[in-house]
Amino acid sequence: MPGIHMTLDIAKRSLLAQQAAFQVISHNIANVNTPGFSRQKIGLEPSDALPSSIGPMGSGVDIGEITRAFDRYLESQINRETEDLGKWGAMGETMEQIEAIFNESIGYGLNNAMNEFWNAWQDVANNPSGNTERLILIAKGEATALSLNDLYANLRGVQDDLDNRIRNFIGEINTIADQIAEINSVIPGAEIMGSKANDDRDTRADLINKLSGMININYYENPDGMVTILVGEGRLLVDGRISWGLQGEVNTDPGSKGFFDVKWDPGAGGNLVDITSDISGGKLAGWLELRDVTIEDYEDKLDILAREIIEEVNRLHSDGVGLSGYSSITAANAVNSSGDPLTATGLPFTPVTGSLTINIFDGNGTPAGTGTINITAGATTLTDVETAINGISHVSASIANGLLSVTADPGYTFTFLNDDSDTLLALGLNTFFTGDDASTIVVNSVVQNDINKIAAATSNDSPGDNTNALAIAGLKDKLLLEGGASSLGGYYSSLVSEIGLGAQKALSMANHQESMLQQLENRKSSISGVSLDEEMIDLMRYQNAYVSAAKLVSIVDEMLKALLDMA
Amino acid sequence: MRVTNKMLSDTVLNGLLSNTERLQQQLVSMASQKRINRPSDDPAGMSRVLGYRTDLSSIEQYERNINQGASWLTHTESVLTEAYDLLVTAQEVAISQANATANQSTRLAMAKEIENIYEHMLSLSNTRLGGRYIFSGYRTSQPAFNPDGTYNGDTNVISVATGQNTTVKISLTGNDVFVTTDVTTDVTTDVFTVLDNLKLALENDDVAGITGQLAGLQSSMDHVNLKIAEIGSRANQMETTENILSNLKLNIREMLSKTEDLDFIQAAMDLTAQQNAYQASLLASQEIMRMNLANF
Repeated sequence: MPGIHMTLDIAKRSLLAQQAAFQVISHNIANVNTPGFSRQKIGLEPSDALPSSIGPMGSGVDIGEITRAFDRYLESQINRETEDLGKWGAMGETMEQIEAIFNESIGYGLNNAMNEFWNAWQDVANNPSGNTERLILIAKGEATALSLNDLYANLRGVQDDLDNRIRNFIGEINTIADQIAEINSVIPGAEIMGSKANDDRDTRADLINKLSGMININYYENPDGMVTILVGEGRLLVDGRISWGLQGEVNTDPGSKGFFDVKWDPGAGGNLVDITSDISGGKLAGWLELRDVTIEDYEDKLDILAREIIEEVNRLHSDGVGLSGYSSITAANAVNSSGDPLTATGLPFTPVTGSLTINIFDGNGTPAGTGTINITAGATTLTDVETAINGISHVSASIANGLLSVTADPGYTFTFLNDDSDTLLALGLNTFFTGDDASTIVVNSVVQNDINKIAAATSNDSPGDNTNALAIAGLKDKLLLEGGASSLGGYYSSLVSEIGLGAQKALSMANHQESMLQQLENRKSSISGVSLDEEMIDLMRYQNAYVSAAKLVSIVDEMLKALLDMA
Repeated sequence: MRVTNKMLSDTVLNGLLSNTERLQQQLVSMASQKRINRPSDDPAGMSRVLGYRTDLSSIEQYERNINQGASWLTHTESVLTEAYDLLVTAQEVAISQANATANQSTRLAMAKEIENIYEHMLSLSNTRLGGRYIFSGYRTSQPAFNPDGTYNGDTNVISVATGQNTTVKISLTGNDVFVTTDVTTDVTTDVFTVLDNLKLALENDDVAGITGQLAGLQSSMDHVNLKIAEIGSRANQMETTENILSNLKLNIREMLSKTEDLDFIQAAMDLTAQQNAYQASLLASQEIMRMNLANF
């Protein structure tokens, strides 16, 4: 039955509906810059028609569901790409840091230090008895050793920094997991009437997106509206209202650097599960790969280079003769046990079967005896060497803390020659460097304290003999590494170019990933984003509708007044 | 496509960011005048650059070695020339005093002259360069010859490196220069013994003795002359090597420059283009960001 009151009722509900639409529009406008916000739309629908004598008659407007413009498929695509961007972005950023360490473009890096070191040997060869040349050689040797130490320490610094970040990051991941679980717990309650908790869902989607940038995840929504998030190879991170935690645990394996492993905590006092190797996406994956693979590899290569420099220079040097002999000398490298064969007692370099000669001189520099020590690989022990030296007149040997010391009688000196057994190299006697890798290489304090001990000669009593200096300088061009394929300098420059390539790859992957993500974000923005123009037009539409409905009320009012006046 | 406000501002922001990034890279290159400012700019190029620098550093060292060697050779040559002149004088003395016109008193006077020559010869044989006795072999801290004319050094010859795996001998040993062995007769002649014998013969007015030293003097002179020629040829060899090295250095410098240096004109043009692009995107953003239906 159509009636005037019905019209008033329609007008009232129309006013309410337009107001509700206003509220949604203002919510959209207010959130135009809110990250993760999806545009909301009010669903207005005609009220159920009422039966009347002239057929069903419309009864105004009803407010339907408020929906958000959201593409679930697009969102999961974005999350997948965010994982990759997180990984490559983290790698690119850190690789830039690493390549700055190896930045040889200005010309004052290890390459230059090594070149100057070999040149300094040439200068010593040009004037083997010159003090200046010897002092410069020590300085250049120190610069080379320091350069290697620094490069290694800087790499190690980046590695430690990454380790710290990884540990802190695990906490951040746990916080986000907790937040998601919390939102999960309110969604079923909010949606119990069948409508959607749009803003909570937006916040949750944003958190999941953040999580994707941190670690590789899989997720799905359950019928009750809660999401389940799996991390790594299917470990539960969030399930409904419950979140599981990740933990960083220091790796205590012997030989490890004590970095944090990423572990999954199954809860209820269960054993932690190591998921470090399952992490393949997000920043965490990038940092883990750099820390455990990439930087480790660069460090190994620096160690190989440093070790080769030490080994080759020392092998020649220990076999040579300085301007003055030794009155006493102590080895730089200790054995684990003086009763073990030299080949199996923890020396940094391994002796081979052969022999070495000790020449003794009296106070006038006149030869006063000579002795040969035979070394058999796998048999001769440090004690055997000690005994053999003690068998030579005017010199004596002793062992303290695994270190061999050789001392001449007062007034006598001795020199080493013709060591084809690498024993001096292994023990660190009469060497130029000590140490055995990039972090330990240092100029031997023996030559540092007495430049006359720099062995430029290969014959006794020959201050003009430069053959050993020439031989050591010649190491520069020898193809010593990679099975005779590259020189020391060449090996280093390929390391630098490898690092450059690594940085280039990570940066271009990050760029590529970023532009891809940008495309997807644009698409998302196109669907879910707020267009102020659109909202303004909607505003006008609803404003007009509101004004019209209000007008309707005043007209009905006039009609009622007319009706009452009739009475 | 539905365009939203976030899309517009994101696009503007990304455009500005990538423009400034390119501008910044261009400025770094312009400031350093280098094309490669970090290894990732051109990893292979960086490796070549390091190789070229290593080569240059070697070449410069070889050049220093050659300079050092050349000064030894020049010095040795002038010492040997002086020794030759002394021997010529001694020969003249011997010839004139072997003559009948000479008598005991002239011979006694000339004995003094030969003694001086002997001393002079000794000091020549003990010449030092940079504090090192050049004729002592490896025993450079000791005079090559004792005052009695016996050799004190060893038989080793000092070399310097003039290239990868190439060395040039820069010294002669005293017993090679001042002592000669005739290949055919196997007679060893020692300059100091010859001079000493000549002096004794003069003092003793022994004409046969004086004449007897003439052959020794002659073979010593021939030998010293031979050594001068040897030094000369080594110096030539060094000079040739030096020329080759300086050409090589030029080539490597050029290759190094091609690899790492910036093409300045190109860079300046690129910079202008970058600036224009940046300005254009600024202008566009200014226009776009202002547009809003609420303004109408």
